[in-house]
Amino acid sequence: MNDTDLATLVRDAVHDTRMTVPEADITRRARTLRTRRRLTAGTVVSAGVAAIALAAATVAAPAGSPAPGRPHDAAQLTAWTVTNEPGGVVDVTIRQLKDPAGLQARLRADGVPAITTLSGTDPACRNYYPDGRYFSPQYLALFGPGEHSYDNGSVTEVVTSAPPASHNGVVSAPLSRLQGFTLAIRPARMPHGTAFLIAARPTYVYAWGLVKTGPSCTG
Amino acid sequence: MPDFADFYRDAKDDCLRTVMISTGDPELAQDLVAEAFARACASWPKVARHPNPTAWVVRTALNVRTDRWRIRRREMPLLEPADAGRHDPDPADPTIIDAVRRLPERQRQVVACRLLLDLDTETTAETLGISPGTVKSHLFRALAALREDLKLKEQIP
Repeated sequence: MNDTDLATLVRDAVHDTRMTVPEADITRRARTLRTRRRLTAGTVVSAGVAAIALAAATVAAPAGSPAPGRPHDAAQLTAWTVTNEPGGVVDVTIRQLKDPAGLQARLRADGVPAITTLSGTDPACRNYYPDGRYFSPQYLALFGPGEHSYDNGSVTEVVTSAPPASHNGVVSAPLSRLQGFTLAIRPARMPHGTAFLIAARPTYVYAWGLVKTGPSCTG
Repeated sequence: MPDFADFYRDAKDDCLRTVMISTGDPELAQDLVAEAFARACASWPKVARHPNPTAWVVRTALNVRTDRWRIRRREMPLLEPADAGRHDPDPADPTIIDAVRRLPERQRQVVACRLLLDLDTETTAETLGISPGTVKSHLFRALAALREDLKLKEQIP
């Protein structure tokens, strides 16, 4: 067999292999990349001014409190990150739930009807699942099989494993176990009339899951 | 300037096959090629002027893979394979693909670019960041190894 025949053999072997990602997913991801590039460019241009402002504000502010006038992008980079992934998945990585309103706005802009709060569970929202759990087998079905996320050298399996604890109907985990974690959300698979709640009690738990939306709970 | 949608429709399968042969992992290849096309779309006015946008996508996909590997090596513990027991939906001929997978990675990349994308030696060299002479020698060795491997399995006379 000569090289041409061998090449034909290799071509034929993969002939039926097809790309299955829809073009809409590609262009959606491209929009995110363009937006990020514009933000990065803007950040570079204003980096000097922002750094001076941030330094001055940090010195003036009490330790541990948000610095007044702190650039929004700086808070995003340190506290949480939202990225659009192929397949309609929105990854949100949370290191600290600072600026929950900013996170909520960003997630909504990326198509996730989200509610974020620093006060624990929003009392005006009811769990989507009637048994009081935010996580449930049905909820886990929102994610694709085998999806998991990595952060800070640890692995937070948010897809195939049960949540680590339950506290008053809120799925939660100690911060020591969640020094940065990533949730992979497929907004297209969220049931109609639901929102994705991300809540934190600043000292000891994070919680996330589906809630029913309504007049007093707008996702 | 050609339309990105047309480019994606025409080039996606070739790019996927090339990256799949290069990486040996169909699912990873889908992910890498999707990301590479997204980057191409994000910079389409520039990529459309590239002498070979398809080669650009393949090169980007392989770079994404390298970048992710570096990040994961730094940040993640080694895990059990996430795809253990996974049903592999890839319809490719397993005998040929297994033979290609046994080649060294660089040889796989050269085979993919030269045979699947029909890139010439110079473009393959540019895409993979190696010299044209290296492309020729990798291709020669790869074809010899494939021929020998498949002959042992009586795929070819």
